Amino acid sequence: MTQDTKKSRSSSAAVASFIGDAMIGNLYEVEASRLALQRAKSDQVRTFAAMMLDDHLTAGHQLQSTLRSMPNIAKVPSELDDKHGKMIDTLRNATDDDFDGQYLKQQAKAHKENLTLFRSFADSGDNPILRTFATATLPSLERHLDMVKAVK
Amino acid sequence: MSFNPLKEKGIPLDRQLRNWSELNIEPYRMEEVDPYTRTRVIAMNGVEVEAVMFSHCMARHTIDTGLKKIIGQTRRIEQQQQKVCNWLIPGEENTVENTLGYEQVAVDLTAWIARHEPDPYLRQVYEFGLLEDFDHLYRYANLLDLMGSDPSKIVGDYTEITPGRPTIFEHRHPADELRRPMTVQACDFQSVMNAMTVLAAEQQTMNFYMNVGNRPTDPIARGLYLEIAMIEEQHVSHYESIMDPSMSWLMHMVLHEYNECWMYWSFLQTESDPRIRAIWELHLGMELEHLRMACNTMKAVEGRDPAEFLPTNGMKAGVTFEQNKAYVREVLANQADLTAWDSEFMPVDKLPQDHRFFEYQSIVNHTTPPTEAIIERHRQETGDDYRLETEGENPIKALRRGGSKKGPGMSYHQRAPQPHAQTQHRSAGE
Repeated sequence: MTQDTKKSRSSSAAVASFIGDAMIGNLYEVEASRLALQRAKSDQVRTFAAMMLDDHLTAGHQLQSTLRSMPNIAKVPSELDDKHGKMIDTLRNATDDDFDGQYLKQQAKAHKENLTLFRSFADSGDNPILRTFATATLPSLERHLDMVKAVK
Repeated sequence: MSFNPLKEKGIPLDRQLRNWSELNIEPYRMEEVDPYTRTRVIAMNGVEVEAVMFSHCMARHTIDTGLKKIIGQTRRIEQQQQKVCNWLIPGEENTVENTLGYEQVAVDLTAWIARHEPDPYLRQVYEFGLLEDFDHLYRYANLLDLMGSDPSKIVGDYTEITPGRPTIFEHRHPADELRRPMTVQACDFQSVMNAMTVLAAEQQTMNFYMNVGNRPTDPIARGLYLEIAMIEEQHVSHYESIMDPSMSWLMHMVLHEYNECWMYWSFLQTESDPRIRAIWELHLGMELEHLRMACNTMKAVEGRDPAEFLPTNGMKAGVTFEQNKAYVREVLANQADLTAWDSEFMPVDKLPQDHRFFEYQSIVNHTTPPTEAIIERHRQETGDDYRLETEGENPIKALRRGGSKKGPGMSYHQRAPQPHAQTQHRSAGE
């Protein structure tokens, strides 16, 4: 295997990994926010959840539209992975009194992880079309993290 | 036949300024003009208006006085070019006749662009907008026919007139006009030229309706312009959001000049009127120099060579106005009931029940949309609507005469609120 082939494979793997992580992170946000809209007690949390749902549906659509210009990309995940599935289970199993706190705690963690993922790809990702997607989505993610810290 | 503007020699800037007589040009003759000469004139006016407005926006964001001087000099020439293009349109051509020309541009220019778009997502973006402008042509044609002027004399035998995606269903929430942007670094250069061209055309259409839409005295005609002007604003949002948002002002400037070169060169290849062909040739010579200046300015200011993003071998072919009847019919048959959710396109019945589209529709369409009222009035006054269907009936059964927008290919009726009937009874005309 030549150095170029190795580099190309590792680059494809990094691109596929970003797409998978971004897609799953977004699916989690949508599902968690829908749960919060059903169960959250605090108006502030419900308002935040409504914005998360709307913004992450938009981000998911933008990613899908980006992938339409990348026909060589293999199948992308359409379901949550184990880690995010367990996070949703935790929310489902939370008591009514605990739900808002659990949701906000998860939101802070998920957005920090997402920010790391998107910042890294926006800075040095090996696909310019996806880099544009990451760069365009970053400001919303940053605002989300600021907001979740401000929700009481 | 390919074209590389970087290899052509232009007219020095100090020989480009013209006097009033040269600018106040004799208009084309309405009874003789080829419909596609009219559309070329309208399209070039749009490209020049975009060049001028872009240059003004850039000047407002530029502190460098030397750079402002350079862009101000080329802007003055672009202004003169715009005057020549737009003053080719004769005063005898009334506003609605002129409007049909604008919509013919929107249909046949967008159709050509869509057919030559290498990116599958962007192609879908153009096809989506195409069907909406195609419907506008039908609505305005019904107004013009009621005014006693024959729409077929404007569009000739080139473009059919029949319902597209009904305008009543085109009204969407602003968030659903935001598409996914392209990345210049990674896309085919044709995609960049396509987007700049359609955006310029749509923006001038929006501006035109915003300004002339209040000229008719008839309330339905006034309403027709304002309703369609609102959709044109949606189209400007739709098309501008596909542009690469990371480009610098100078990169935009270079691309604008490149686009103008390509457009004039394209129309030079197909123009049938020798007098107007000479104008395209003269303006191409001017634009070649503007492009050379823009490239040199980018090198001097940003230290970046435009050769990094301009195609080494130039453009493969020119944009042409040509018949797109079969293509438009195919797109209509398959995509009439599409709407948008964020950047994605989907049939309206795939939207969730509580989607913002339905709330938006219920507010703006609470009373009869003028685009429906004009058809109803045409039916009342003449017994039917006006159509120019040279290739057979509308491909969507629900959009054929006697149809009610219901049935296969048109799922809007299942979900969208129906307006209250408030058809007004007045005679048409300006």
